[in-house]
Amino acid sequence: MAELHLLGTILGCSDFKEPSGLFCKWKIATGESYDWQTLGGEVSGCTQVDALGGEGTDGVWDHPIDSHFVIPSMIGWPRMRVEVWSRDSGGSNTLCGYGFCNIPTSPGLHDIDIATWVPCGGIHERLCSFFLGMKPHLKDPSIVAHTRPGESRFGLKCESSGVVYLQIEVITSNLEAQGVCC
Amino acid sequence: MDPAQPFYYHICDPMQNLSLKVTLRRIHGGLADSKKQGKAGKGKQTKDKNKENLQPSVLEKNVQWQEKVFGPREIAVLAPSSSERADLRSPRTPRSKASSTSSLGDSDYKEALYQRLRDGFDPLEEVQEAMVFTYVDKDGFVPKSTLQPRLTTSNTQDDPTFNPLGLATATMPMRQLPKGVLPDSTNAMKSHLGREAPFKIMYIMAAVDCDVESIKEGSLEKNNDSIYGGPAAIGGPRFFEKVLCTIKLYSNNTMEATPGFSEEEPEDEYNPTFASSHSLQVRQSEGPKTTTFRFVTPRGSVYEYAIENRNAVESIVSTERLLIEETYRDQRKVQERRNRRGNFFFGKPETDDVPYFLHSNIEIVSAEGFGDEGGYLFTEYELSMPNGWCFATQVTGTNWGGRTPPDERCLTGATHLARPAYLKPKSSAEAGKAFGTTNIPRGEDTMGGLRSQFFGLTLFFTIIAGMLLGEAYMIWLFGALLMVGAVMGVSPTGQYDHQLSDPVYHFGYPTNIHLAAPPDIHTNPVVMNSAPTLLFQVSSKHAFQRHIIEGYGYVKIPTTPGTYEINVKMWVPRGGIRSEMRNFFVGGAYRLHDLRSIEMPSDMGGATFLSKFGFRTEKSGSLKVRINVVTHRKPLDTADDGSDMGNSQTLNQGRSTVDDILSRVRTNRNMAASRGGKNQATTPISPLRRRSQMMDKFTFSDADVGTQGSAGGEGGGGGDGGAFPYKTAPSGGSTADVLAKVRARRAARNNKGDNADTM
Repeated sequence: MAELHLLGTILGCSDFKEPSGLFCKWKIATGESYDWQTLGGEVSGCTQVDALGGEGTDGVWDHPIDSHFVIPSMIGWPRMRVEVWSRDSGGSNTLCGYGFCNIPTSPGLHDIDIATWVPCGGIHERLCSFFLGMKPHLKDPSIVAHTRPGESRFGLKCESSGVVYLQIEVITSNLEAQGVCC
Repeated sequence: MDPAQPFYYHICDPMQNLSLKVTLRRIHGGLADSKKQGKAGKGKQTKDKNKENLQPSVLEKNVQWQEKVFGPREIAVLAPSSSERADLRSPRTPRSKASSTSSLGDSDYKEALYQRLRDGFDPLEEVQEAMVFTYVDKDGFVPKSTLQPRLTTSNTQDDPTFNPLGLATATMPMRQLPKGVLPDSTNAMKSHLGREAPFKIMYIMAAVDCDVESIKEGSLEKNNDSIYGGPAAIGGPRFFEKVLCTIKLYSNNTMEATPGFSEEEPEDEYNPTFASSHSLQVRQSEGPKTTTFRFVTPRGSVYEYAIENRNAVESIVSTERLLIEETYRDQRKVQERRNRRGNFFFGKPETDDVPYFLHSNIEIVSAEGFGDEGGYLFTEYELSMPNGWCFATQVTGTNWGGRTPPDERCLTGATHLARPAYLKPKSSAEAGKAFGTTNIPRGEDTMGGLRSQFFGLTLFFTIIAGMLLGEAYMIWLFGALLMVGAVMGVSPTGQYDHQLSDPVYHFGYPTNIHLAAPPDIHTNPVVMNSAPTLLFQVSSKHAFQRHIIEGYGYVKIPTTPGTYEINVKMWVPRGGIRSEMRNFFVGGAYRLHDLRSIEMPSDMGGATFLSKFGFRTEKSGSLKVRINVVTHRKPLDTADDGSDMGNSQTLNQGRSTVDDILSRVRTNRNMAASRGGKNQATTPISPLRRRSQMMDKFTFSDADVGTQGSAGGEGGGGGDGGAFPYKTAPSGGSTADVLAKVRARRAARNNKGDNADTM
């Protein structure tokens, strides 16, 4: 039985416009067609709030990732989905970015920059978000990492935001026996 | 063994079975000794000299988990006084006043002591010079050592908040307060709830140097001063109490004992005892030395104690049995895990017609170098497949696991509309930091601090001066120039200057493409190097619905497995001045008729080679694309059906080794038998040999595991294996039978598994 073990770290982020209180919710999403059983570890989580910082500075999370999957098929390889939020001193959370990256298929250590974006909406919503801090959200955040056929993102107006840095080590076992070369 | 070092034990039995033997031995001193002879004990510390004092010096006590043994203080306070003793003569007298003043636990204890008195034992007679007693969980005892939370050698650091554990236990109320100020039992319960990690605690205590007489007198008169000895000036407390052992039971069945239970001490590696014949004799006759701990009382007496687990596993046979049970448990766990995972891998190429499946996970990450003219940038892509390639889901005969084949035929797609982000300048290679960007201080590429204040003040004063002086002076022109400068981007705010960093458009668009290579890819020279291509078109959308093409580019999907990060350099067609104007005002002045001509036009007009001469273009930006490529061939071994190929291979290996081991064990036994029974009887059997013999008797077969789990440890009969909860094969030469049975079951299961796979 082929297995996939992911060991990694969400190192941190940079270039977010929000001054401080950044945190990141992450989830390793697998394909929906097959049941990617988890043998151990967590597939989702949330980092701590990096309170310090300033505009454009780096935030540091150093959040560990350790997940162990059974590979049922080569279709639906896991993807990392991140949501970056900022928490202000009043305790209100503002969305700062959605991002995703494919988990590499080749075994070894990989450094990945996840480019994030955030929906910005029209002029009215932008005014609201400036004064009230509420930005439009995605109704279904799973589309960040999955595009279904026939669905297009054209028309979704977004603003690019910062970069999340991920370091991940991929270990596979028994894939060669299934004829997979990766 | 360090007495302050906690030891952790994993519990298999119920905790009620814990039984400890506490041995307390006085080495030197004692109350009577110091009273009579003063400090005479100094010179003669050997045991022989003190022998007359040591008659009652060894004290042994067996203590159960959470068993309350009363200490001198509790006996003195709670035991009936002389007046109450008189009441006790008439057994029907209610003693409601006694329980009304104390808490729940105290009244229980009091009741127990009264009961003992009524049974004919005077609790006061039990007060001895050295006592072993316990504090159980509900007593809420806090040892003094945890109330001194000094973590450093510094004397000034008196803040108890530095020791959270000490603080937590210190907040637990000590119910045994001298002046009868007993807190409610509810408080005790509350403090238990507040513990960070839920545990139950028990202290094994020693009370030594007890002044028996004064305690007895004091308790009869209920004079607290005589019980406790009053203030230190009079002579301090009438006894000294010491925590011998702290036992904590956590909710996860871990037991922590501080210090750990006494063990037979191993020889010191650096300073071993002389293995003389005498020392060996002593060892043989009196047993090995066990760990002991020592403490000194304020009066100068020296005591030594040992705490032994009475139910500890001592014989080598039972250790071996436990080991075998453990091995069996491990084997069962491994088997269960193997069963749970099952044998399946869907979507493999099943026929030789398909050389391989090409699984590529593609991500359009970002675009840069396109400038920022206030519009939204987006990317469209199109997949161009060469002749012979098709989607993996179109290949017939592939086992998709009974599910509908995942339909991920994303031939075309478009990302969202993105506004740019202005990232910090990227680091040069030599100054690379952990995150890939530099930590350039903001002052270097922005205007901040004093400079921007000076800028703003100059602007303000020129405008004021210009207004005051009127039109005759042209000083306002200076201010106006400053304003223009500010608008052009040299802004006095703390923002990053747009001119200094490149705008980056983030897309983060996922797409997966699963393709099947043409059958003749290795033989046909036409398709030998062909690979599917992704064609990209980057456009921007501006106000008034103007669409402007920003760039074209393509990337060939690599057919070698790996992870690729590709920067696609893009170009854009360039027309004359008219089309440029049209592009600027209306948009969409030029675009490629056929997106495929980015790479290779579908119709080359009869030419034998591709020439793009005459086509004027201009470089624009670059698009970052990450591609993970996996090739999936048909599994090499075709002897098996392929469904559980990898697994059965390893299993077969594992079984052959088991066979090997069994045969080896059998030959060993035969050899031992041939050596002769007498010889065997005299030579001690090594643990390893014995274990292997036992293993031979209790053959494990993984085929039994499934049935065994449901049977729930029904006892197997037979001889010395009666204590084993699992089935035992009849001993003797029946291993071959068992193996045959296992093989038959395995074959049956394999057949079953194949059926399940094809379902």
